[in-house]
Amino acid sequence: MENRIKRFILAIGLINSLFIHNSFAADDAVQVVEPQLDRRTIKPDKIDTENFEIGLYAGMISIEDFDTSTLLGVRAAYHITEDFFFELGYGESEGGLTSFEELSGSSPLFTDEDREYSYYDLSLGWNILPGEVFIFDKYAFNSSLYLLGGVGNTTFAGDEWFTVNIGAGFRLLLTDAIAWHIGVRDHIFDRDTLGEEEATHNIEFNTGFTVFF
Amino acid sequence: MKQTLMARAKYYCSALLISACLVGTSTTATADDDAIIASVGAVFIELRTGPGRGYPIVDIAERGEKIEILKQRTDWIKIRTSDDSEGWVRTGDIAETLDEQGQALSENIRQLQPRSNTSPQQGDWEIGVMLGDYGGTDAISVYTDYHFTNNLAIELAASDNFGNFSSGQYVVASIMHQPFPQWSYSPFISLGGGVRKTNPRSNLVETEDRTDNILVAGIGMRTILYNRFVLRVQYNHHTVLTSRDDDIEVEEWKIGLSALF
Repeated sequence: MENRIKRFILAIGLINSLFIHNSFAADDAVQVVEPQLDRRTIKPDKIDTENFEIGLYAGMISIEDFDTSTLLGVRAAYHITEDFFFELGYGESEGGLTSFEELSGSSPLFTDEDREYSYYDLSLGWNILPGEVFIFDKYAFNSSLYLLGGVGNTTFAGDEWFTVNIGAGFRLLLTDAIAWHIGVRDHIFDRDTLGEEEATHNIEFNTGFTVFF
Repeated sequence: MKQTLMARAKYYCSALLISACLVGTSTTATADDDAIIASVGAVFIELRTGPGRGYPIVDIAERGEKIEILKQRTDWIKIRTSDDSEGWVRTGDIAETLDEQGQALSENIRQLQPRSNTSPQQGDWEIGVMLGDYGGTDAISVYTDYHFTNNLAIELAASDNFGNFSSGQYVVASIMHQPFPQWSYSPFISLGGGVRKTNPRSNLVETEDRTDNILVAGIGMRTILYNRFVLRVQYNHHTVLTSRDDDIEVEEWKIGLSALF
């Protein structure tokens, strides 16, 4: 009972204090001097950045012991500074017959599924020779020769292999946002598919287009 | 084989079309609505033909001249001057230009603010690549962080490891805390969970691929190498929650490079 009365009185006090406060505030609202201040407008401006690059490429890859095949891939890059960029590449191809399989004429040693070759690379690129390319009198394009190196995964012959890649490429910017690439790359991994473990070099030539966004 | 390649080519072409559409819509949305106009604050700024230190200077914009800011690539900004010539200027040169209210542009635009300290700032993204050892096998991982504050970040990491008996992948989401972000060698701890897939090697007796949940606790150190490059060393302790009687404990060491943006 006592508690209830206490609460009631407190509530009245609280409501009163609110009203009193409001009435004081209303009195203060009359301003003698208008402040001559420009309101600062905070605009959430953002400059459109174009540091990401994404695109497709096609080429040929010489899969060691397994012939040379067509290759298709996607690449995405993030440009950190004018000198360096990260690149993620993913490519797919299919190994052909080994020399042994072709010469012996016997049934193939690997299934079609095992011949599927795919890889991804995580690389750091260095625009070592940036410049301009002039075509006839009329055209000048920005360009760059870059070196790439990184690590990745190759899936081949039913297994996954830790792969080191090194390469170089040439990028020609047709506009600010569209680039043409041409490049070579060596995918190096140790493979024991044919019994003994051996380092294999799988050299790729590719060309493709990318878009900056 | 020809047919599968054709099918793949189609698949890749459609992927390109979709990405081109996405890129197209995103650029038109930003280009039209809010063109950023500013007036040059420095005595003059130099316009180059490309976003790099070596490209020739072809024009200048003088103090007070109105310029339109078009886009940014790495540390360079493309502008259009009042007489319609376009060129690339350094981000640092643009920071001094003034907006319509007479304030330095860098006050409103975070991208123009100089990076004074080395720690990640609120709202920064980070992407990186790491290389190391996962329970005695070679491992590579890629990760992306979002920094809520300069202490706290969330991270999504994916990793691939290559052993003599099995290979595997994991994906882990974690929370990362840097108690002393202002230190030039800043320590951090992380805690997360995810999924791991283990694929035994094909030359072993036929065994099934397994998928297990994992818990990961980590500790590490990070430092800025240069500009926005971060070097990071990390130790993770993984607990693989297998369907067998015992959980598996795996230790992981790795070192990597990342970029803040």
